[in-house]
Amino acid sequence: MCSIEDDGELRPVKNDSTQSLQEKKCVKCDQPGVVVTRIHDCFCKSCFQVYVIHKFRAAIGKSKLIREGERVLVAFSGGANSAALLHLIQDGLSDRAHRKLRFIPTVLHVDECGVLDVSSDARQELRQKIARVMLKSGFPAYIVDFEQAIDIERKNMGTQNGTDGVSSDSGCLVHDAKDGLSTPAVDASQTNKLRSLVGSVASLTSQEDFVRHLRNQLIVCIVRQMGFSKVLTAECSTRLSIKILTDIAQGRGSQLSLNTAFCDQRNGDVLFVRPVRDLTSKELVMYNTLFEVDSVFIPSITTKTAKDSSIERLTETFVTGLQADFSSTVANIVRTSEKLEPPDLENSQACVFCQSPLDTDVGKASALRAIEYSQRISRAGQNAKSANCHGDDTKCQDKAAGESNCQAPELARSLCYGCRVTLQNFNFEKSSLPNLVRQRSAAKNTSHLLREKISEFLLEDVDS
Amino acid sequence: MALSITVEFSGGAELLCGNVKKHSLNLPKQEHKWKIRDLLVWIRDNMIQERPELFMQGDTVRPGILVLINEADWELMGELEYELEENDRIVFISTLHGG
Repeated sequence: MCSIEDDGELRPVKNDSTQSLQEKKCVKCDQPGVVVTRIHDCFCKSCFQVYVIHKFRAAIGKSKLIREGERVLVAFSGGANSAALLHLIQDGLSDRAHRKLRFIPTVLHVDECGVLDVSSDARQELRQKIARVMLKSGFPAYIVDFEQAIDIERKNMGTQNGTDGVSSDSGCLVHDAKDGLSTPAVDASQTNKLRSLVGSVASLTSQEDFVRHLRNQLIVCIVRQMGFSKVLTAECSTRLSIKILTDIAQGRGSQLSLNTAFCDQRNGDVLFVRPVRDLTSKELVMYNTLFEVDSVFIPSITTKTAKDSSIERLTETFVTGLQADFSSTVANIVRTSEKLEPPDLENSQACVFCQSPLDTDVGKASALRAIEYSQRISRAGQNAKSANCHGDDTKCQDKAAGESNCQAPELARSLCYGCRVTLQNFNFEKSSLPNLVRQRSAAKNTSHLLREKISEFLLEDVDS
Repeated sequence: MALSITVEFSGGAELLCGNVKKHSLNLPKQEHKWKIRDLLVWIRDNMIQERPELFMQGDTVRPGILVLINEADWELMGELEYELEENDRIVFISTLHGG
């Protein structure tokens, strides 16, 4: 695809600090500049606004994805990027827009405080702040508790292929943000359940990954419930470049293009669209500051933790550090990922958790088999040891690891490699897994068995 | 001469200084003029209550934290060498995920 810089060279240019930029004028007009975007280009306030709006509109326009009058969901975390996206949409729908946007947005916030150690008062307060920002936009706005993610798809027994399960009656409870100022406190037992679920994912890295995918599945579920088919998310290019490197490090390389493209189609009927993916987090934050867009700070699991507390955090430190000296870092990473071919969604099975195509159907002489082999060997050693340490059962993980070995194949077969890594610390105890994973994998196993039974009558694989 | 300025933290940076966003500061006298470079050290020593490494890295701010001087990008103002003036408004915004 063509893009602005295709003809120009993008060589790493080290920022020579100070002086040179001092008192610089806007590159478009002669007003004094207020913000530096790319390398040495600086803009004045009004040219900057034009620039941001153009990038946002161009991304939406170029894709021709959203139809006229279509109702879309805007995923709103409350953070700076989301707030900027909401403001851009508002602006695009207002009369002063050059060419009006033509879709009808509904705003949804997933309240994730349940994962964190936040008191219920603080949670209510945060919620009210977010509700206020959402209502200010004038669009219909809803809040959903992340706790519900554990129970989604209770009534939705996915059909053969996880992606085409119809979940019209999955029955998520969605609060209208208008009541956000007085929503009933979330059921504490549910919160505890969620917390222990997330807590049972061993590393912070896996927890972040787990929360992210569970949240996406909850959103998908709600989108289906509302009868929409598109979700706008506010991932900026900085976030995406961090995600690209994180994904590679976490064994999700095959999903890269899905995770970072303008449109993510892995959920079949529900598309994730990323309209601000061409803007950096600096540009969005500057936009918020210059145009007084309110945002709410949302703590996350890694708030106030060390720079290397999780792979994502470490990658973030790396990318932002590099970006500070070489301002084309983020652009380079994102543009490189755009060159990747998306996986074949139609002819592959989906992972029961993250819904990306399974990447585990590989030959014998592959890295995956090698990992499995060495895991088996080292676990076998551990099991032998654990026979001696049964007196200390509470701390002894080895036993559980041994059990997981017995149960793993069944569940692991329906997970992609990245999700296997994330969920491995569950010891594959099915009862503790979120409903959707359990049910989908059960459904998938049934269909797998069924297919084995009838395989001799099949001329070719029809399940495609 | 003493210098009074406003310093603001947001985007999660406020968590490092007691969850207070807006601070009015009276900087003590010093021999040469106050620069951002000095201000950062002063903030680290006098305001940041925990984990100073999440605010500063080397002699500058941690990458990912934006600095605005009177509503303008600090890159335009000479970054660390900018000389503070009376009633300046310095804003630190974390763009990092989770602050």
